[in-house]
This record gives sequence, C-alpha cells and structure tokens, in this order.
Amino acid sequence: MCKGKRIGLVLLLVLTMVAPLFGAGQAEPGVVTIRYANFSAGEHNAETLRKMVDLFMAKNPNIKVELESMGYGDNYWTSLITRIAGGDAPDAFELNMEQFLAFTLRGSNRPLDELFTKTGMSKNVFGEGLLDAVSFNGKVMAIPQSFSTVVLIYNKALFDQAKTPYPTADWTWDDALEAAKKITALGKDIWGAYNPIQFWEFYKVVQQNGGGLMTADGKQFTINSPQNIETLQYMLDRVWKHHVMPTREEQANRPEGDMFVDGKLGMWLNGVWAFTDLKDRVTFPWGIEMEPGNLSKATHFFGNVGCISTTTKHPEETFKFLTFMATDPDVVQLRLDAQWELPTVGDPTVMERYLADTPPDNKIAVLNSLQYAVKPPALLQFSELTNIVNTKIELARDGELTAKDALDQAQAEATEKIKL
Amino acid sequence: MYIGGTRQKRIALIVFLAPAIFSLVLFYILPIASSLVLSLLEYDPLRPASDIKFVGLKNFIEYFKYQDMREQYLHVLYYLVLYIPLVLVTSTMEAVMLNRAFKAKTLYKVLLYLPVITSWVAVALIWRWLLHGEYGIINIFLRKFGIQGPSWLHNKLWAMPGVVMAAVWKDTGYYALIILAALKGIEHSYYEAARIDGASAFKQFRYVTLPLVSPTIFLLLVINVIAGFQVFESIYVMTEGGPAGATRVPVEQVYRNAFTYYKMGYASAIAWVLGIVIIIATIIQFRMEKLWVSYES
Repeated sequence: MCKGKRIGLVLLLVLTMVAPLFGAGQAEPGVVTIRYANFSAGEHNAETLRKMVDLFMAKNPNIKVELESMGYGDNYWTSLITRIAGGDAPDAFELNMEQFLAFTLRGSNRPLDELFTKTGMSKNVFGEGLLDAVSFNGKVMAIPQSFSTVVLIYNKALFDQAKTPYPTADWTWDDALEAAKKITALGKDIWGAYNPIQFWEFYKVVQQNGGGLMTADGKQFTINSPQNIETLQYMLDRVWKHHVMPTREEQANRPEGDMFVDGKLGMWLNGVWAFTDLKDRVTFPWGIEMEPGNLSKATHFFGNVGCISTTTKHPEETFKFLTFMATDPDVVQLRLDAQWELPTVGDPTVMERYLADTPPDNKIAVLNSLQYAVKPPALLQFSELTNIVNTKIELARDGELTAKDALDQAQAEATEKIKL
Repeated sequence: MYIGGTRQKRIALIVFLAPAIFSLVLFYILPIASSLVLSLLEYDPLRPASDIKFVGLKNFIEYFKYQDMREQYLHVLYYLVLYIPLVLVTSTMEAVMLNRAFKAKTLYKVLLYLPVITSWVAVALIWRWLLHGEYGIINIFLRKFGIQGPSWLHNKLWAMPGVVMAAVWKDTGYYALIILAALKGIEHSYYEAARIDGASAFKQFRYVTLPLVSPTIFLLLVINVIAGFQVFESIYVMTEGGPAGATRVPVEQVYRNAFTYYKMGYASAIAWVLGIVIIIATIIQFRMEKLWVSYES
C-alpha cells in the first residue's frame, strides 16, 4: 500500500469513529431541546408517559423533549447523581419525596417562584397543601407531578366472619387491635393485621403517639423518648404478645399483598397504587379507611416531583414542560385513565371522577389522609439516620434487643454520627 | 522504559500496546489516583464544586474511630474463613472427579459449570428459597436427621454461612476448571512410579497430586482472598447487608457511603483502607508460600 493510501485509510477510520460526536446536539433552528430524567413511569406507564410528552410537543412545537426513562430499581439514583456530579445534569429530573429533600438541601435544583411570576402560571392550580410539601425555606423547589397516600385496606368478609364492625375514620390503635384479635382467632394462618416493623413505619407511628425523631428546633434527636419507646413496644407487641401479625417465619417470604388477596389478612396498610391490582385479583368484598391513630393521626404521603436543574440553559421551557405534565387537563385525564397515582391539580371535578371510580368505596379516605401527611425530617444525613435507626429496630423485631435498648442505642449512634 | 530492536519495531510495539495502556490509564490508574485524592476531601456529588473541602486524614480517622470498621472486617473474615476452605475442597474434589474417564463426562462438565455463568440475581432468588427456615429444602433435609435448621438469612449468626453456601455452589465450577487444567498437566509416569512403589489411591493423591497442583491451589488461594475481601454482589442481592447489619462488608459500605449517603470522600477512604488490607494479606500469603507450595523444577 502506498503512503498516500495508507494515510487516507487512517483518516477515514478516525473520521468514522468521531463522526457520531458531531451528529448529536444538532437541532432545527429555533427548537429548544430539553432532557427529562424520570423513573416513576417504569415499564408499566411508559406508554402513558410517551403520550403525555407527545401532547406537550404537539402543543409546543418549539420545544423538543428527550425522555430519559429508567426504572426505580435500575440504579436511577446512582446514574442521576453521577450525571449531576459530572456536570451533565438533565434539564428536568423526577424525584420522590425522600430524594427531593436530599437534592434540595444540596442545592441541585433551582427555586421556581421567579418562573411562576415570569410565565404567569398560577400557584392555585395545584391541590391544597401540595406546593407546601415541595417548599423549602419558603421557596417552591419542584412541581408536584403525582401523589399517593397510604390507607387502611381491609377484608370485609373477614370482618363479617369475626362479627366485628368495619373500621371508621376515628379508629384508634386499640380499636384496630381488638378487631385484629378477633380476626386472628378465626383460624390458622389468618392474621388480623400487617404493619411492617422498620424505620419508615416507625417514624410515622411515633407521630401518632405524640412523639417524633427530633426536637421542634431540630437541634437534638429524641429517638429514645418515652413515647417512642412505648410506640416501638406497641409495634412489637402486635407480633410477639398479641400475635395478630405473622412473625417473619410465619410469613415465610410471602408478600403481604398476596396474603391479602388470598384472604389471609384482615387489615393491610398500603398505598393507593395497590387498588388496580386488588380490583383485578380480589374475589371478596374489601374496603378502605384512613389509618387509625392514637393520640393523633399521622399518615404516609408519597409524591413524585419534577425538579429543574440549577445548570439548565432553558429554565423557562423546562418549567413550561413540568407544569404542563402536572396540570394540563388532557395529561391529567391520561394519568387518571392509567390509574398512575393521583394528579396534583386542585380542580374538584377531576377528583370527583377519581372518587366515583369504585371499588373500593369510600375513596374520600384517600384524600382525607392527605391532611395528616407527615414529612420525613429534612436532614443532610437523612439516609444515614434511616440506616442507623432501622438496624436497631430490626434487632428489636428479631428479639435481640428490647424496645428501650434498641432506641437508646439508636439515639447514641445518631447523636455521634449525624451533624445537626 | 527500554524497548529493544529497530526503530520500526519499537513504533509497532507502542502502537500495539497503546490501546491497552490507554484503557489501563483511563479506567484504572486515573480512577485509583483520583480516589486517593478524593479520600482526603469532603465531597458531596450533589453539591456545587465550590463546596469541596480538603479535610486531610479526617475521613480515615472517622472510619477507624467508629465501630463500623471493626464490624465489617469481622464479617469479611467470617466469610473468608468459611468460604475459602470450602470452595477449595469442593473444587479440588470436582476436578479430581472430572479428571477420570466416565460416561457423559461432558454433560457433567456443563452442568457443574452452569452456576458459574448464572447471574447472581437468579442465584439469590433460588438460594433464598433453599435457605428458607420453614419450607427450605436444606432445613427439610436437616430435619430428617432430627436437626432443626436455623432461619438462615434471617438469623444474625447464620446469614453469612447461608451466603457462603450459595457462593460456593456458584464458584466451584470455575475453580474446578482451573485445577483440572493443572491435573491434566501431571505426567502419568509419576502415578505409575507411585503404583509400583505400592502407594494407595489416597497416598497417590496426598503425595503426588496435591504437591503438584499446590502452585495452582496457591494461586486460587491468593485470588480468593483478594476477591473475598471485595465480596459485594452476593451479599447485596441476598441480604443487603442484613439482618440488622450482620452481613455488612467493606465494599457494600463503599457503595452505600458513595451513592446513598453522598459521602464520596469517606467512601474513597474505606476503599483505600480495603486496598491496603488486601495488599498486606497478599504479602503475608506470599511469605507463607514456601512453607507448603512445591514447584516441580
């Protein structure tokens, strides 16, 4: 091969390798491209998400949205964190409530109040309390995209068999325990209730008993307060003393959802996302009610929010996209049709459509639960706190530590390792 | 670096080595070097770069100070003490068996190698059932002998042996293949000589086979200690470090600190401590090598 040919060949090779670099990033003039990293659609709602985005692009021809969808389990967080750290943050990204606090505390997403003013978007479109849930230091930090609450799901057939009245909105721990005892007495492998013994459950249940993990000023932990010890004891007693809930051995790897569907669980706490599946699989009558409290009520609230990266070059377009995805009537309808959690708009007619869709009856409990929603503490080291407390609670669950020892140890370790 | 030969030869050498050196530098040397720098910083990946702080040895001091480090290394030692003897014995046995002539040998080879290429997620799924306290086949088997087996993965003491069993099952085929290659390399005349001298089958194994494969077993030991200290995948998918932290190991903590706690500096410090521990362990093994490894020539 002559020298000229050889050089030509090498050049060609190099060119084919670097050519893709120039291909990307080229767009039609006047069209802005924004990237949206998201996880909550997963496989199940990928099609619905696609339709929502297509709607947006049809109405906004000057904005092109590139979806970057990953499943929750596919290392979504790891990849998102790495990209933000590497300076390649997507313009918009979806977070759940727990990560929302972690990202906001670290300044990865920008405040949105200015964009509300600039674009003339009204804050009143959103359901009551939802913008408060995504506010931090008085600033709105995200657009709530969807939410769900956790309610008490119960098997009416088992309640009837046990001749026990159905749960009501003002039920307390004692009422629930009494009913659970009667249902458990119905037979072998029939259980009154299922409430997991872990950190997430604990931080909510302590608030039903007038406790909390920190003092009001956030300067000290109160993990081992008398109310909290009493609460953990109550959670443990359901398994070991009253035996209305299966031990891990008795549960034998069976998911709680399957136990409920099989008619083996009287009461089960779960989110509204379970309804679709229950509608398909459950053959007995079932109902829902607000979760029982003790001194007060406290419920879990889950939300997925859309954030705008601090580094985006197109904040206005991204804002337009995120608010469209949360509030556009057609998008909201798509979400309702897919039963993909709940839309965040305040429009009562939208909610009426949701409430009318039964079973279960009494869907108003889903919305009423929102009044008692508790937020996890806003802490830079929140994940570490979760791990510290959860490890000790698991030891108590398995009978290795008493409720008091577990929480004393958690308090000591949290105080040592976590800066407040 | 000195490279002999003509100029052309040297250029060719560099051209051929370049891709390997390039990826070595880019994917190994640079990350290792940057993790050393990171270990001296307080670096939260979600925060702006201006928040990065130099903290000297603070990450290392904290790691040494907390209870965690001691616990993690005890767990990893527990794993090593169980896993290494077991996997070496089973893979040697398997190799010796496969070294004989018998019917459908290829089929056995394939079957025994299958677990090696199975993904850990699938293995974990199966073994979680096998190890189930009530309905698991292992405990049902034990019950036949009147032994009440533990609830393996839910028990603080027995979770690690549970993981080890799954790991041994999965890895045996791989190491057996390496030992088998070593067995094939033993000249037949040694066995003939031993037989003429009246050595029994066991004595042949003990005084001919074992010494001659000892360099291979040594290699496997070194590899296994290194890999064992870095155990992660199996634990992550089988127990996630539980129950109640009973199977937390250093690499799991590296991952957790980096991507759950956003403490890249601290995670790097844990990784460096682990690296140093592994280097020390390997040096000790090489020092002990002459005590039991025999080389033919």
